[in-house]
Amino acid sequence: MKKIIVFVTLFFCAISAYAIKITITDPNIRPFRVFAYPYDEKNQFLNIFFSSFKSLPNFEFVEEPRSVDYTIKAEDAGNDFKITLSNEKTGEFFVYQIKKNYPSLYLTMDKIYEKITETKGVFSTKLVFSMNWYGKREIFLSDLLGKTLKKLTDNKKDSICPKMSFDRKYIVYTLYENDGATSLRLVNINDYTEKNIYSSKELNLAGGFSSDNRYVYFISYDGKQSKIFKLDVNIGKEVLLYKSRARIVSPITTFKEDELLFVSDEYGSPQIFLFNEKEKSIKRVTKSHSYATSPTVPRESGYLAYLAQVNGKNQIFLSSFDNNELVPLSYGNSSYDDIVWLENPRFLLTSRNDGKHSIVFLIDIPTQKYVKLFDIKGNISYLNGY
Amino acid sequence: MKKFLVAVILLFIFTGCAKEKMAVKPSPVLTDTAKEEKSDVAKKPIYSEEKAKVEDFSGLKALTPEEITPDMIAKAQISLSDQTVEKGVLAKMIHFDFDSYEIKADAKDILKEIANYLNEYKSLNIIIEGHCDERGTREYNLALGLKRAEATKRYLTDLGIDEKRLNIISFGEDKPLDPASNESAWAKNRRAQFKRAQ
Repeated sequence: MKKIIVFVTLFFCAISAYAIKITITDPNIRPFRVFAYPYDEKNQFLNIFFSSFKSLPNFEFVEEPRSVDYTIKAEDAGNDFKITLSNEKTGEFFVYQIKKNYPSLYLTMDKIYEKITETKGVFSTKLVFSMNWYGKREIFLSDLLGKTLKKLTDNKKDSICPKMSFDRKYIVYTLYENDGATSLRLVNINDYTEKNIYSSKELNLAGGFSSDNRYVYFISYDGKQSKIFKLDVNIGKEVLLYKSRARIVSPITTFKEDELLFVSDEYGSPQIFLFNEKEKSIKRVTKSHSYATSPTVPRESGYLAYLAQVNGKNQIFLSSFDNNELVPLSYGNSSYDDIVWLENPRFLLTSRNDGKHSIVFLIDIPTQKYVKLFDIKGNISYLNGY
Repeated sequence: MKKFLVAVILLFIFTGCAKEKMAVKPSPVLTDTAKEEKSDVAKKPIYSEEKAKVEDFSGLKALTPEEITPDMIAKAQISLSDQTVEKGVLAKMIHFDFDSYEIKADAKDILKEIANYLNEYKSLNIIIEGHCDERGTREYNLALGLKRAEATKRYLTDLGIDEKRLNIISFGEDKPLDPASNESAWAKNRRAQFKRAQ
């Protein structure tokens, strides 16, 4: 009898271990082993190149060229850099010529990332956020590593809540006008032109773009009633999708046709709801927390991440759309301001801010590791990007 | 013994429930790189700055983005709370409880005073700003701030002030009076304040 019990117990323990192993967060995935040479820390571009790869938890840089998956050789070729990537298993090699500027560097880093991991690169990600600028918030654009930071607006009025389109060509943000009205402004970040796409006396806040970048989903709130609109950015025409006496924010696409997520206090505390555009129906998604906001979803996967209040702090959670599967991605005393799921669904972006100093992190979901991307001695908010 | 078996069965049920987990693809197990890329040798992935097509927008404004250095950022970090401090009655503020937009008893006296002032100066229009403490998330706090501004406006209109003279706006948690993270600071920051409309 004892033997049977031991066998049954071991059997169930094995099942239990298997169940844990197949979660989205699996720290046991082996990183890609890479040998890189020559590693010249004094060379600004090569230093960024190598240190960025090194910081990612899915890469392990080794000292000796033994038992490696890839070798990377970097050469300074005058006006350019030449990078050679060799696959040590197949003998294939690839040569990249990089111009000595950041866009060229990031593009090549993504090509190499994609070659090695067979997933989307991350280094061409563009970030956008608001930051305190002489007592008003202006809109700023940055690369993932915070190396090129540009102040986009000079409104001298509060400019908040910027959202990046999925083709990285446009930003929509909210501008506070003098009389209490707010406007939605659309910035083309390729030619740096800007135009007004919606203005009213209400508080107008964009949640994000549609998956084809044609529309902006935004809320218009007058303190009594919230309205969700879908606005065609080319012709500047909006369609009312939903209205409610509840407070609604953050309407975002789920990347499925006719589906949006938004935050509403329809049933008391703020929770995330799924909205079907055709049926005009809503379904509550989050049930596990009393305060759940800031949803973000990747293009493929069927999961969402959101911020929930735990002991007064904003903590990050990953969840299935029925909220039955739930993984905490942050712990402890830190409180996170924003979360954004990047094009590569392995990574989330988040930020922490103590009012004077802000830090932007990349979260590697499988290992739950936080990679510090950059910090700013300034008060940044409404971080978004793609 | 029975209890032990029950516990084991419960463990089985529990682990069974947890079995279907997140399906975001973990990093793929390392395999060979794509064969078709072999001819990629010496191809130059040169970055070309795509010139965007300017779409048919009316009222286009050209932006002149400015490269920002850490020194410039440090200098620009002056207080976000409003520097144009109103004087007299309009300098008064009303405060709210946590996550609430209900007008409290002590606030009602202040609002009556403001209503009297507005009745005295009939050409004066004001902006009511709703503010929140730092708890919660920024976008949601913008909605709460507007609810506070709206509740304040409603109280003033009930006192006979024409609603056309009252504009509302929310700054959520963006403009704290006291940037500290404690109960006393939060209580100061949960407020509605008043400004002359320009």
